[in-house]
Amino acid sequence: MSILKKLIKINFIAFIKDDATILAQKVVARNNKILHTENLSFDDEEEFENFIKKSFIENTQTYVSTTINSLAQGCVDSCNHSKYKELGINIDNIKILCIDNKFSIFVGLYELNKTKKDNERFLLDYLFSPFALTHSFNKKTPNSLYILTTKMFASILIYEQNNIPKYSNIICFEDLDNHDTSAQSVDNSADEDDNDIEDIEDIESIEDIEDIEDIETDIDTTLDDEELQDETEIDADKLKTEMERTQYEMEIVEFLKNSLKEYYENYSNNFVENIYLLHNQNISTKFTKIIQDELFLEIKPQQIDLLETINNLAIKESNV
Amino acid sequence: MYSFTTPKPKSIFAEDTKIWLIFILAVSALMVGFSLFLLTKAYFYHKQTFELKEKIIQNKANITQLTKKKNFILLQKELATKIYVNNELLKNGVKNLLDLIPDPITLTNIQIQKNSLIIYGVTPTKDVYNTLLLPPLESIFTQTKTNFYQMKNGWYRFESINNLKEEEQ
Repeated sequence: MSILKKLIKINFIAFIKDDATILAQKVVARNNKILHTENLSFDDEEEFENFIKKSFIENTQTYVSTTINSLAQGCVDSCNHSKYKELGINIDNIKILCIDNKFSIFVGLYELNKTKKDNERFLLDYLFSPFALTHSFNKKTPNSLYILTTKMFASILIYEQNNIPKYSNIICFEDLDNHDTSAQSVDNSADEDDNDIEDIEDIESIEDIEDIEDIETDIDTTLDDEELQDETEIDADKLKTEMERTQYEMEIVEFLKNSLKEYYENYSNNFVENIYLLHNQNISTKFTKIIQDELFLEIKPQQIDLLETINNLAIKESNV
Repeated sequence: MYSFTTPKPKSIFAEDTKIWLIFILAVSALMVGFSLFLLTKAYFYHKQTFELKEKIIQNKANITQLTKKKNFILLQKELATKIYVNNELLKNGVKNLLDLIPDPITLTNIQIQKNSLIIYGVTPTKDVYNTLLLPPLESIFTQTKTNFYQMKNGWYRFESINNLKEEEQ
């Protein structure tokens, strides 16, 4: 079977949901070699479902992968269940994946089953944690923080001396209303809520936020002018997008700050020396500068292809 | 192991390909089976042919033997017929010979051989013998020789030796 698998073409389809749109990447591989890569976009789930079915008809060896976007997941620097008990995590309600017998990734069973059910129609094969994706970019440098930012989530992994993640945190942007809860993630502590509020207040004092407020005032002024109504509408959309983007960036800054604070307070005294910002969308230099100013640390941005990363993991999992 | 889910088992072949493969395999199996059957049959036919050839050789040998036997029997039969004919001839000859003997002459001994006939008997006179018996004997045999011996009562014992020539046989 394994010999046959080396001879035949295998399709790997990675997908992520971006609002109503589904972004997918189809990779055709054979014997560890990628033969063809195709990036696709689908307007609705039905269209994507048909594409998956068509792919299965064309080639039965088709593996579909995606990520699980849930707050109820994390990383523990051990595979031992007693460590979970120490952290107050009930192992009966989670699924644990032990990675290289060094550390483990877990997810809540409810969230896992829900994601599986939601994606049942797409004949899902692999479901990866954002932490697994983040870990795949580990450069094995000590005291490093890796933050993987996507439109749906941002995940943080902090490595100390060894290559075992010491700290993990995740935030999901689909559920921004519950951001406070998400920021707490699995490593929540009683004091965090207060800290978060303080952090938000800090952010509000940043000059960039003030600029946004100015922009909003400008919009109001423009709206009064009837002759320029159409232009105003376009500008308003653009500004709205800008605002959303700024809000997103601020969320990430806040998330990063909270995570680092929590790490220093509860996990380690070692100073984080490197911050790798893994992103799959163009980020502004302004954003990098904000983080640098806030954390007094140099940020090393690295543009990644999230779908490609998912597919690479799927290829690794399939052992093609 | 980075995935929370295990991929579904995937067959290398699609459902319709599977059906085709099963059909092709079944047909191939049937063909192989049929060819094996033919090979087995051919082997047994070959074996049977060999056995029959051996039987033919054996039968031919038997036929030769039987022909020899038949020839021998035919020879025997011929011989038997010859003997029978000879016996018949002899019987007729003896009968004819006895018919030849006239009443006054009495035979005491007859020796019949292949080419000769020796007759011993008693005759009242030599003339009786010479007139009644000698002429028929001379007409049958090529050479006839008679010896007379006078008895006390005046009659004669005679010994008639009759031969046939070798060339005539």
